[in-house]
Amino acid sequence: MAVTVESYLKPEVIRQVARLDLRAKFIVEGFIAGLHASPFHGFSVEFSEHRKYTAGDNISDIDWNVYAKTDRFYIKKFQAETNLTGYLVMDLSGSMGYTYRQELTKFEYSISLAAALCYMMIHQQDPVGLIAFDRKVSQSLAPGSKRSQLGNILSLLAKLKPEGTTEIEASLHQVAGMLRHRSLVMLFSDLLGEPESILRAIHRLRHAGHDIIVFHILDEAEAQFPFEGMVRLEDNETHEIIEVDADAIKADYLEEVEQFRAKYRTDCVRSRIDYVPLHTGMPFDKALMSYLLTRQARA
Amino acid sequence: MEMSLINAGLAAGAALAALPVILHLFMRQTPKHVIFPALRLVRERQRRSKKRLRVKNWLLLLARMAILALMALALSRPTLYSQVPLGDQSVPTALGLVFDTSLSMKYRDRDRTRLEEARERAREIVEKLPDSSQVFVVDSSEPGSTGLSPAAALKRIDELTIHPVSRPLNVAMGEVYDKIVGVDKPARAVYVLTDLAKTAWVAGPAEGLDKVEKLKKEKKGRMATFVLRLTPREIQNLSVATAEPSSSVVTQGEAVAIRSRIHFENSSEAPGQPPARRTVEYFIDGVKKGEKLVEIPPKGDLEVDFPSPPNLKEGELHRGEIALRGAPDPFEDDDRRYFSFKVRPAMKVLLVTDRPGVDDFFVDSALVPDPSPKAPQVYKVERRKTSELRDPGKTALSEYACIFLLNAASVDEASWGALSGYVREGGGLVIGAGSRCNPASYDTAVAGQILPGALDRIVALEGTSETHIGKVVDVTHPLFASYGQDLATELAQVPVYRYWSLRKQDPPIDGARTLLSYDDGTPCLLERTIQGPKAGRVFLWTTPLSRTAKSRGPEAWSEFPIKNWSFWAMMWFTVPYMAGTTDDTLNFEAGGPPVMLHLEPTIRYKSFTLLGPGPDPKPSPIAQPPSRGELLEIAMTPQQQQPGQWTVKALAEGDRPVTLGFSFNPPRAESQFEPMEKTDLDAVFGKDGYLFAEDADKLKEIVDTGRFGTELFPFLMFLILLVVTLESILANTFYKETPKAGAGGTSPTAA
Repeated sequence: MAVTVESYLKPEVIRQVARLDLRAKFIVEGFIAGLHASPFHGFSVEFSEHRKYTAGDNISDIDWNVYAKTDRFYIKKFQAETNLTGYLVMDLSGSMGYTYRQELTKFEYSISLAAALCYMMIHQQDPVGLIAFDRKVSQSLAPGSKRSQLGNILSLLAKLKPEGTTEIEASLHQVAGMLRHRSLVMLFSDLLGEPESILRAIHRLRHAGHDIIVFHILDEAEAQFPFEGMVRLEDNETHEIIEVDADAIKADYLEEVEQFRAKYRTDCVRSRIDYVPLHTGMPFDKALMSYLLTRQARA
Repeated sequence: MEMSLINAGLAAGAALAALPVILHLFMRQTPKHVIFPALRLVRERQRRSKKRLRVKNWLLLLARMAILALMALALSRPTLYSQVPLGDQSVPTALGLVFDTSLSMKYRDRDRTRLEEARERAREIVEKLPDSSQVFVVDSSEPGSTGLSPAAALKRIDELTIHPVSRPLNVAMGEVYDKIVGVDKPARAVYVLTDLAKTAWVAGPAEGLDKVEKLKKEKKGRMATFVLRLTPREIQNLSVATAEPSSSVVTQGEAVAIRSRIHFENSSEAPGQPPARRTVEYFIDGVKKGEKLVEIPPKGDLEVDFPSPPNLKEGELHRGEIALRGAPDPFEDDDRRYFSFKVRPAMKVLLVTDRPGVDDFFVDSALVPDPSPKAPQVYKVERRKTSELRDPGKTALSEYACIFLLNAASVDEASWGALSGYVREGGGLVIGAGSRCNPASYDTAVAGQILPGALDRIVALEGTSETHIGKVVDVTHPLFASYGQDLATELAQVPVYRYWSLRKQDPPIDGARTLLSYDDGTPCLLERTIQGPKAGRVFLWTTPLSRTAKSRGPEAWSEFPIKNWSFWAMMWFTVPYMAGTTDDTLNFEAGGPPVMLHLEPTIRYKSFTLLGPGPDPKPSPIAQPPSRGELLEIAMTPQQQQPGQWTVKALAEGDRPVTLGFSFNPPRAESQFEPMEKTDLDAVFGKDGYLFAEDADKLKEIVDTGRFGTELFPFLMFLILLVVTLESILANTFYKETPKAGAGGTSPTAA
């Protein structure tokens, strides 16, 4: 069976693509192909808008390709009018490197998604930067909208390794201090910390005027608890061990997960923050759509 | 309740209940090690639901253990017994068959009497017994039963007959338990075959239950009691409940009513039950004297009265019966009732007074209301002055049924002697004390031997005040019995202005008692009974039985003679009471008080022969005739007490034949079919002391239950099903799957 572009939205397909830049390209192309058959038909992420040339406009803005085809002068709408500086904020905690099925870790899922978003933003001329943190901000890349920025970000993303413990609250406070202008902050994390303190940090970012999308990424096993019988569960950060009857506790655990997510969801909604619950088995389009909706609202 | 296991060995399988625990302890699977970053979520939930999980785990473990234990128990086939099981029918058994042979067992349903039904049920039981069994056939009417082989028992069952008189079944149970407990057989069973009419039992437990309990405690054998009800579902029976003359001894010319009551027993609860139409026939001396067409309401009674024919022959015993006719009746024995009464000549009454026509006027008027020569006279009244009391030229005092001594000033000692002799011979003396009475004359030694009190002084109420004959001390006294409370009400309205008070007696006079008293409690009428060959009686009225025209003059004592009908009734009933005829009864019930016939005191009897009812009765002599003046007691065995007209042929001195007689009726209780309720049977046998069968099918079922107990297998299987369902519900609730959508995540939330 031929692989269609939309199939790259599926994690189990995209994980077979080794190169991150290709992953980003395939995900976005698959997403856009999907959009054409959707209510977003005609929506272009390639170009923001064209309008007729009028006297006084900068001649350097004339789109000569359009002139060649139509014999009329059109200029590209100023990117500054719709520019949205985006920051991809990556959680490098050890828990993000977890995968139960040994297919795609939360971190791999996160960087695939981040790469795709970066790809889309660069193609829309939106400046995009990268911040990675564990106990504090460990890596950062200033925003840029040039094509070379995509390569830089993807290169950096590919090098990141999730390990050790994390301090999400402290790190986000640090991020808040770093951002000077109103930006779109896209947080990729499993948020496995104290919800109250994490939310406090997110709120600080929000209060600074930033738009925030929280991609809450859990492993498929964490979201669905597929275990059976007696299992000994070990936290890979604290190495704490709990022995449970998986069948007995499954319903309660799933309820707890739902409450855990509900806590974030409720708080985010109240603060007009996008909250996107994901797990590593879910296709990427849901996350990308969330980004587009936010960008559209902002524009 | 006791329980036994058919496959007792399999009950050990209940130990398998420990299997889930063993599996849990020794076969715990090695937990799979899994790295799980979201451990804090597990920890949080585990902390909160630890207690609940533990309870669920225990419940689940218990349910699984219960399933295993119940399955093992079910396979061991437990059976439950309310009594000790009898085992297979091939087991030699000591069998007791208690037959209710009371009259009500003659009730016919589907053309069979209840006894015939009982016989058939008993045959079915006996025919299944092994030959080595021993059977005791107990007749509720006849004590005495011996152990029989099954074949002999069948013959004995066929010989059983119904008797008018029967022992209470409680007593018959005592006999059967006594016999059965004494027999050494592996199994013991008692069957009670009865129509279950309440009247066949007495309150309280059955006799011999202590022996049964002792047997059970010592575990010396198995024992069960089965009670089989043989009554049809619906009872419809018409009966002559009562039929009696107003008195067993009536005077020539006296109006006598034969009072009967017809009862319609109908146990149907269906609405709109029609009344029963029957003809009530009335016979005297074998000749029909009248009939009435009547309608009796369901579960109701109807009074039907017939007047006795006038001018029945004097001095003879007259026999009568009231019978029902008109439709077939399932129980014919209570469709007729017999009665007897004697007609005697008018009783002689002597009125003794100082002033004839004055002090005796009202008594005379009461006893002879119509003095015309052609009018029938119940009482023949003669007058005599006090001074003539002992006149040898006049009729002897003993010829009088009753003597009234009214307001006599003085009675000499000799006259008191004559009166004392008269009373001691069984005569009746009535004294009406008035203003002329000299208390000293009534307080002599001889008078004191018969008078119930001594006159003390006249109590005269002042002005317009008055008292009344306020209180009837004993309404059931024969003098008041006919009108009871009505007479008491009338007497309470009689004004009294003067009366004699009586001197206090210490000690009280033997045989004396107060019958009526005034409002203040002073005696108004006293009675003294003088024992002798025939009991003599003396009445003392403390106010005269007469009045003067002036209501409040010095001679005026009371308005008793004219106030209302109470004076007439009192005088009218006084004479037969004093003559001793009111307690002379000729009508008896089977199983009731013994037959006692009054004999003529003037006749000396040589022999008596008893003749039962029926066209050709077999004479049976009565041993030891009583001495002169006594009552003739006729001893009859329960089997002899057949309903009908009985005759006693007596031979007086000089070989003069005298005919006596009486009527015998079946016990009224035999017409009452109200059945024993469960609570009644519980009281007789104890709550778990018997098994009850309402019909033959139920009997078979309870006999099987009695032999083998109640198998609990189906109940246990049902219980297992319930526990399995419970376990399934628990497990499903415990390990419930959350829908995939809920587990996967939610759609993005647009802020």
